[in-house]
Amino acid sequence: MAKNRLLGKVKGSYLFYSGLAVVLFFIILAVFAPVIATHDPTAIDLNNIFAAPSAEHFFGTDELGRDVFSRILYGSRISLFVGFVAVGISLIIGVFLGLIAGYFGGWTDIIIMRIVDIMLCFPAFFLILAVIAFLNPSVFNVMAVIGLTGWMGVTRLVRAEVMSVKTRDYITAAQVQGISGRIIMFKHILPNVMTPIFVTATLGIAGAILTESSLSFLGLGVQPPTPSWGNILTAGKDNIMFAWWLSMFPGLAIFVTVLGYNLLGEGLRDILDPKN
Amino acid sequence: MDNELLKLNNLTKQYRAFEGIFKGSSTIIKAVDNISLSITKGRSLGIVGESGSGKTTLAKILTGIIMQDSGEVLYKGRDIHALGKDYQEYRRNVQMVFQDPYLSLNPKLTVFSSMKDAVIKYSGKKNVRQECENYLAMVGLDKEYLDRYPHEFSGGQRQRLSIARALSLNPEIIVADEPVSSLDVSVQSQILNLMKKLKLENSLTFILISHDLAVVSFLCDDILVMNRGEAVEYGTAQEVLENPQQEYTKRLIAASKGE
Repeated sequence: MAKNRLLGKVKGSYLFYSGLAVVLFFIILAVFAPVIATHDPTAIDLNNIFAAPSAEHFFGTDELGRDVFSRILYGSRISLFVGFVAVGISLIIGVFLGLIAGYFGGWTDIIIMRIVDIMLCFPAFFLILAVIAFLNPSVFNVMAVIGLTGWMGVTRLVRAEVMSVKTRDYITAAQVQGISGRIIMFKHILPNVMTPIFVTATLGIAGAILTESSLSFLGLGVQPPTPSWGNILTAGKDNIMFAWWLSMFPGLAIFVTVLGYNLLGEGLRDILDPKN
Repeated sequence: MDNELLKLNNLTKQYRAFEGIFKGSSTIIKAVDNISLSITKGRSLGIVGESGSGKTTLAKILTGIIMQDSGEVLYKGRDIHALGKDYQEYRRNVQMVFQDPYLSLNPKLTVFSSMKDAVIKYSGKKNVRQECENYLAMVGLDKEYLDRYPHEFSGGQRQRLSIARALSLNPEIIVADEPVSSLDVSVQSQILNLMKKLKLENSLTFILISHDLAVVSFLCDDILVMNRGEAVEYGTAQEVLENPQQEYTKRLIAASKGE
């Protein structure tokens, strides 16, 4: 009954479908990058620098003669990887703290939520910049730092949901049965608060991909020669007057991917919203 | 007094109702006002009263879900909030069935997942499934239902599942808060018959909360009539029904006869 209604809404949601199409498209590109790529993304060809897009090099070549099309393909792996892992980290922290704060209430809640408030006071991007400046810029550090600075919204969301679910009769029933708080939280409450988490996670991936690109653009993210959309753009910015393809194509990739995740998130939100 | 399971002494619970957001004025509502009673093994108690008379609050206090403001609840002579490690024993022995069967089963868990934690906790890990099947059989449900989700059941079936869940701990007392008021009349009688059968066959003691005297008189040996948190009348079912002392009780009896 409930599932059929959900399916009906999925069918009618062009937001969801267009988002899903874009997201799947880029996931397939990332997975099959070695098959699709026409060149080695790090192969230098000094006889062929700043070549305009052609049948040989679809998106042209950069200042070292590397194939931009292949670099963007391999860059999508980094972007998606960072996006998923960073959001995964913030989900684990956020869901855990949100569950505890919402379920136990009282001082536990007050302390956790004040930590959230404090974390939210920092301008996130500058916090990330500062931390990365101390650590070495690497894919791992970028993922960890984006994840560790992005869990506050999830915590707030989960806490609010848990506070509403925990007053329902089936949770009271479990408490009356003497089932431990740990089992009630993770087995009885968690499945009932997952839906809004999906939406936040999807939108969060878009944010994480943007942050990674920005960091790599500033030289604090993924380090050359490993290709990433952000560091291809960095090379593009210096030569934008005559090699437009160096800025255009990675920029477009970032734009379309982020748009895709945002559409998917918005679509999911519409589908899962019981008021529609 | 060996058979006394629960004893309530001068139980009081108040709520503060604020009027307006900024006015700061508040009125105190006595949900439960100085109630004392005793529940002995095998004698089921019915608590009757109109909406807002404090029946549900009383049920929540004696299942330990909320804490009273004053007075005490004694389980076999000991305060339930000072039982220490015996608290689990009280927990197991006082179970609850809720009013709305659409809210009392977890929509994301199968019947088996909902039931098994409690069974494992109190009877160990062996034959968990077999035990769950037995409890389902006790409420007249097929064992295949264990793997289904709550939305696949009707209201009456859900209420049977709620009862099976309460039974799964093998309790002495089941507190049933309006267990039939949200069901169709024909299903109501099925559930009441089931409860009566369980009461007789398993020597269960029910504390049945209802606004309907007819429902209570069918199942209960003693009746407590509540109005605005106070005990208006308390006695055996026969006394209360045949010889009501208070005007309020007489009105309730008249209402249940449809006059």
